[in-house]
Amino acid sequence: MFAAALVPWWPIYESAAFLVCAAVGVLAGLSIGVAGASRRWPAWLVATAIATAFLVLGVPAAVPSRAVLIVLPTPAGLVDLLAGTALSWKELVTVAPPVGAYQALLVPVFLSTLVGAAVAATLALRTRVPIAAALPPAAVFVTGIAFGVVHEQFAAAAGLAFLAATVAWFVRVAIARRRALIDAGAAGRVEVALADARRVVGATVILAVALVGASVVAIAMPTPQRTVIRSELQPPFEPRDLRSPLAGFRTAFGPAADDRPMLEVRGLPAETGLRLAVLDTYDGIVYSVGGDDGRALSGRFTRLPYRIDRSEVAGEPTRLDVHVLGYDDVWVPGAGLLERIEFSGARAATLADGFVLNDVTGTGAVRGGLVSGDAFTAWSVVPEPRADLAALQPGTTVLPPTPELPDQLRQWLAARAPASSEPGERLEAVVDALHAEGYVSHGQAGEVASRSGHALERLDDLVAERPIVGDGEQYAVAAALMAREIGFPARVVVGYLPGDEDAGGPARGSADAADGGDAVVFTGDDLQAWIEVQDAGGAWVQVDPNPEVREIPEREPDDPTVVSRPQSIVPPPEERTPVDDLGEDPALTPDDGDDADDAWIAVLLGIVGWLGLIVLAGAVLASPFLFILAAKARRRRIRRRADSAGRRIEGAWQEFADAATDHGLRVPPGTRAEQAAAIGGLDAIVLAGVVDRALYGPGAAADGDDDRVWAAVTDLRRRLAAEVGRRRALLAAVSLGSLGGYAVSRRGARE
Amino acid sequence: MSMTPEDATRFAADLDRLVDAVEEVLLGKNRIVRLAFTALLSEGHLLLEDVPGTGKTSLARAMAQSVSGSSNRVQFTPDLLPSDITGVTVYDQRTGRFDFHPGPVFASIVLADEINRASPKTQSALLEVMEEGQVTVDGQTHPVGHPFMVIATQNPIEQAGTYRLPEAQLDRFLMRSSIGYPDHASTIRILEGADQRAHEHIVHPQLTPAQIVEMADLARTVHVDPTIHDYVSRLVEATRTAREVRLGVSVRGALGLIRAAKTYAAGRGRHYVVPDDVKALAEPVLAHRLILDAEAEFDGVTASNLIAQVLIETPPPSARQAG
Repeated sequence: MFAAALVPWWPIYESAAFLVCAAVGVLAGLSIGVAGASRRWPAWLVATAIATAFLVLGVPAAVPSRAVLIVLPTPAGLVDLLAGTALSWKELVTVAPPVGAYQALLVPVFLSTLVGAAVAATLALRTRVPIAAALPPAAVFVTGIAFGVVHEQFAAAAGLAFLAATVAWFVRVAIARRRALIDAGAAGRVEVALADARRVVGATVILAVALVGASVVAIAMPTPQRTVIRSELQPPFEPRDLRSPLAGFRTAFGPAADDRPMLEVRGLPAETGLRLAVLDTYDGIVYSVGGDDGRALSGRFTRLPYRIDRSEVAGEPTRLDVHVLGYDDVWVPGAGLLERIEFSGARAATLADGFVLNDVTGTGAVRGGLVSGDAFTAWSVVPEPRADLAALQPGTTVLPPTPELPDQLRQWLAARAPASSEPGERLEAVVDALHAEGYVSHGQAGEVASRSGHALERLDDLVAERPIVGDGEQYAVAAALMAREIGFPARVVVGYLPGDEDAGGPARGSADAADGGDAVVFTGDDLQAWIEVQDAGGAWVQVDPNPEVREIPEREPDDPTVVSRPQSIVPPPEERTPVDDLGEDPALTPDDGDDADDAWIAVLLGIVGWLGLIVLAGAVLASPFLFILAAKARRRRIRRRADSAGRRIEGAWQEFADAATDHGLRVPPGTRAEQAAAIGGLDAIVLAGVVDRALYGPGAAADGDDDRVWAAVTDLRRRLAAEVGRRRALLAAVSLGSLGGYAVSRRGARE
Repeated sequence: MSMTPEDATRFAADLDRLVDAVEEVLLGKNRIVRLAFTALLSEGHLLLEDVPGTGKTSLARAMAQSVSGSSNRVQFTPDLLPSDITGVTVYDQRTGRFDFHPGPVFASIVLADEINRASPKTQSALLEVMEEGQVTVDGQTHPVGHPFMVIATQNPIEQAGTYRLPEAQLDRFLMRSSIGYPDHASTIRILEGADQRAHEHIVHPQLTPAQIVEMADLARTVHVDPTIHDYVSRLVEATRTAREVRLGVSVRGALGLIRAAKTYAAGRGRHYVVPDDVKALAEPVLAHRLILDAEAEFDGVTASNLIAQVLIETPPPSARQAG
C-alpha cells in the first residue's frame, strides 16, 4: 500500500535517492510498529522509537550529502535534518521538480513514510479496527499529490494502484476476521476457501469497475487543469536571481545582434522609451533591480490582478500592441505605469499565469521569459514628458543607498553644476554637459575603444578621459549617481528608445512604411539606458543623458601625475642570535619542586576527569534502565495509594500480573482466574479468588484487606524472582514488557 | 437478603451430590449435567441439539430420579396435537362432569424429544407452561408443580420434515447445549457395563423436590456486583452491534444470563458472581438467541464462535469500575 502511496511522490524527486529514502522510512516505521505491538510498548515509547529512528536514519536517508561513509550522520546533517522537518515542505513546492536529493528536500518523504508506516502497523496490530491502517498510507498518498507536480502524466494509474492496494488490504482484514470466527467452527476448509474466494472475486470486480470507469472518463472527458499546492503557491519572483539588464548591455551591439528585429510595437507615444527594466540598486559595481526582500521598491513583484486602478496618475492613457520577434528575456516591455495586460497567442495562458508586476516602477516580468511569437496588449498611463529640467524640484522617495561618488566624478560634477545652483538647474547642467562632452562608442570592432561596465572605477575613468567616450551603460549610471548626489531620487531604465532613420535599419523609430500604420520595429542596437528622476510632485521624469552619436575626436594625452611616496621611518628588525634565545627571563623558568607538584595535580586532575567521564558515560548508559525502574516505581506507588481499598486491591493484582509479564510469562487479557491459570501455581489462583471476592463480593473491601493482598503480592513477586535466578530477575526489573499496560491488542487477545 | 458463604458452601455440596449421581448414568458428561442442573435451579429450560443415541432420555430420567421427581418423555411428531401434551378435559358419564386428564407435561422433568418435528401450533403449546409453569385448558389453569423443567431436543443434522423453532420459543429456553459423544475412556466404561441397560440404572434420590425449590430460591440471593451487570450489558450490546448478527440477544437473554450466573456461582461455592461465571455461561445462554445474517452463515460462522469472539473483544470489569 505504501508503494502505491509513494507513486505521486516520484515526479517530485525522480532519483534513486528517493527510492532508498522511502524504503528506509517504510521499513523503519513498520519495524517500530511491529516491535511496539509484539512487546506492547506504550505510546510514548513508540513515539520515542520513531524520533530515534528519525535522528539516526534521517541523515543518511534524507540528507545523504551530509552523511559520512554513506551511513554516518554528521552534526551539520542533523541540523539540516531538523531544520528540514519544518522548512523543507515549503521549499518542496517552490523548487522546480525534479528536486532529486537536493539539500534536505527528502526529509518530507522520509518523515511521512516513517511516521505513516509506524502508525499503520500500530493500527493494524494493536487496535480493533485494523482496517484503519489504510489511513496513514492514504495520508501519504494525498500528501504526495498535494505536494506533487502540476502536470501529472499517470494520475489515473496512481489512483488505481492505490485503490487496488487499499481494496486488497480490506479484503485481507475481512478474511482474517472471518477466519477468526470460523476457525473453531464446524466449517470445513472448502467453506473457508469459498468464502475467501468470494471476497477476492468481489474485490476484483470493484477494481475492474474502477478501471473501466477511469478509462472511460479519461477518454471521454478532457484533462482538467490540475490544482496542487505548487500551482497555487508560485515561488516568489526574485529579480536578484537574474543578471542585471545593464550588465549585458554591450552584447546587444555585437555584429550578430545589432540588426536583429526584437520587438514590433504599435501605439508607443512619441519621445517615450519602451521600458524593459527599472534599476534602483547599485553596489558600486552593478546597477540592478532590487531583491524581493523589500529593501528596494523595484524588486517587489507580485501577480497582477485583473487590473490596477491608475485613475490617480496624471498622464496619457496608452495602448501598446507588442509582438515579440527576436527578444527573449523575462522583462515585459512597456511604457509608463501598466494598468492592464492581455496576452495573446498560443502561450497566452502560460504567460498570463506567470506574469508579475512591480506596482511602483510599473514594469512587468513573466516567468520563463518571452519568446518569439508571443504577443500582448498593454494598457498604461504614460506621464507627460517634461522639457524644463531646470524647474524640477527633487521628490521624496527613498531609494537604496549608493556608494560615495568617486573623486573624479565628484570634481566633474562640481565643475559643471556648482552646488550654489538650484537642483533642477544642476541636473540640467549635468545632462547638458554629458550631451556636449560625451561621445558614443560601444567598443565594438571598428569603433573607438571603450570599456564596458559601470563600476565606480569605470565611471571615474569615464570623466577623467578626454574626450569622454562611453555608451548608455556608463552615461545612464553616471547621470543617475550625479542626480542622486544633487538630491533627486533617480533610477536607471533599460529599454528601447526610438532611434534615427540614419542610425539604424528601416522603419526603426518611425511608422512602419510597409504597414502604413504606427508600428515600430526595434532592433538589437536600439537598446538604450536612460534615467528617471522623481520631481516634487511624485512623477518620474524621463531624462536621456546620452549624447548624440557623432564623430569622436582624437584622444588627448593624460596629464602627468607626480606620485609622492612617504619616507619609511620603520627601522629594520633586529637580528636575533641563538644566544639571545638562551637569555630568557629567569622569572619565567619554573623550579623543580613546583614542577613535581604540578605533575601530581595534573595526574589527579586527569584521574578525576576520567572518573567523571566514566561516571557520565555510565549514567548515560544506565539512564534508560533507571527511567524504566522509576516508571515502574511510580506505577506501583499510584496503585498502592489509590483512593479506595477496592482499587488498591485491584492494583495489587495488576502489580502481580505485571511482574509475571516482566518475568517472561504470557499473561492474557481476561479475567483474573484466566490470568492466574496462565501464570500457574496455586498461589496465583488463590490470590485471584481473594481479589475477586474483595471486588465482587457483597460489601466494600475493608481497609486492612488491601494491606494483606499487597503483602501477598510482594511475597509472590519475591518468589517469582527467586525462581528465575538473579540475572533474569534483574532483566525482569528493567523489562519493558509490562509498561504497555493492559491495552488489549488483537494479537494479544487471540493468544 | 444475600446468600451467606455458608449457604453457598452447602449449596455447592448439594449440587455436587446431584451432579455426581447423574454422572453415574451419563459418564464423562460432568459439564452438561452441571449445566442442566444449573438450568433447573435457575427455573429455566434446556434445549439439547444432539444426534440420537447420546443419552438425552437418560439425562432427563436420571435428573428426575435424583430429585425424587417424575419424568415424562414426549416424542414430538407432525401429527402431535397440543392436547396430547397439555392434557384434555373429558366428560365423565358417571359423575356427569368434565374431568381434566393431565398430559405428559405434568412432571418434574419433561423430555420433549425432537421438538422440531411437531407443528408450530403444538410447539407453541409449550410456551405457557415453560414461561409460567401452568397449563390452561378450557379456561381452567392447572399448575404443573415444582420443580419443573423442559429438556427439549432437536437433531441438528436431519432437517427434512421439521419445523424450525420460532425465535420466541427459542428465547424461552434458558440454555442450549449438546451432550455429544462420550470420550474414549467413557465409551469403554459404557461398553463394559453394556449388560445393564441405561434405563434400568436407578439413580438414588439425593434431594426432595422441596429442597430443590429451596435451592432455587437460595440461588436468587447470590450477590451480583454492579460491574457484573455492566459486563453483561456490554456483552449483550456487543452481540447486537456485531456485523455478522441480524438479531442480537434480547433483554430476556441478559436476565437469563444473570440468573444462571447466580446459580453457577452458588454451585461453585461462592455467594457472589464473578466474570468467570458469566463467561462460562455466555455461550450456552446467549448463542441460541442470535440470528446471524445470511452471508455470515454462508461463510460458516456459527453463533457459538461469534459469542466466543465477543467474549474476547469485551474486556471484563476493570479496576476503575471495581473501585
